[in-house]
Amino acid sequence: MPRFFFHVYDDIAVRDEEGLDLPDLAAARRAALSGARSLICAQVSSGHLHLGHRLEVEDEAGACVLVLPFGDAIEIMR
Amino acid sequence: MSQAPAPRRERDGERNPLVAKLQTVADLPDEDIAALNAVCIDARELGGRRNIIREGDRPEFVHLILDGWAARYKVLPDGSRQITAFLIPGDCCDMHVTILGEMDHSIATVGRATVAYIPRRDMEALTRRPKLACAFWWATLVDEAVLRAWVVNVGRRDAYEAVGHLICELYARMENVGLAADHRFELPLTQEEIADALGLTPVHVNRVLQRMRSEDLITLKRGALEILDYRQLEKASGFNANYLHIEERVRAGSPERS
Repeated sequence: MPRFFFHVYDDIAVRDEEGLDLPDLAAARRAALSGARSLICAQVSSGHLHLGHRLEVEDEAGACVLVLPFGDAIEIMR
Repeated sequence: MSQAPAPRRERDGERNPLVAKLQTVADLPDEDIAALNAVCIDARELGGRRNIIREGDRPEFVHLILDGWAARYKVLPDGSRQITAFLIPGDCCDMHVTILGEMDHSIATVGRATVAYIPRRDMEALTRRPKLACAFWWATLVDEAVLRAWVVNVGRRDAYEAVGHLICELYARMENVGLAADHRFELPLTQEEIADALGLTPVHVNRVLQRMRSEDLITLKRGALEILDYRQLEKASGFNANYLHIEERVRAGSPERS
């Protein structure tokens, strides 16, 4: 199974050295969404939300396969 | 390179981690220790992520972790997994099954592990030895106490506190069976397993671990974990080891402080 690495860019850059084995890019996208939303939940629990923070997903070759800004991970309604 | 210390052995060369664990709280007579060792002779090596037993199974054996780690878990219909306990050397997977009869959850190895397969009947015979039965009861009660602490951890702590609490707990438990010292130990868990234990995502766990590194609370590299500032990690995670009941002496049913 291919491995994907989920790097977090919020206040700092956090590399994922371990990665996750996932069947395909679609699964990596779902994992990125749930990961971003988990971080978003933590921010909201503290009373703030940085829509500009993002995840970047790389494959085993180091190629960036997905950039997910937090703002794209949720739908905000007013 | 791992910097974790080599495991300590009991002075009398005892290598059964369940005996080591029980002896920290109970004065077991030699016959009881011999009887316990005798039922653990069927020791099998399992690869990583292998099911030891599955939900719904009616097992023939009680499984005792001799080396490596295992995890209790439930899988939800959508495929997501909740780990409900980590089992380290000296932990029995399913001591209770001799009474309940059927597994209500599954247990799998984390990495490679050595598991003693104890026939049900042999375990039942052991429980007719009063001091051993009492010691087993203590161990089961501690498992229950750990589960309560996990409910609090998953229910009321934020990700940072919950990960810190888990690290403190695992260190204390490993130290109690001689597999950790000087605030260093081998943590064989993936970020995914930590996440599944705490109801988080692996991405979030990675972020929390990095925060802890940046605060000089821990180092963690390829499974070798060192807690750099134990007092601060305890404080930050709200960890109190009382629920592990370490160093309580249990004598014939009346617990005393040692």
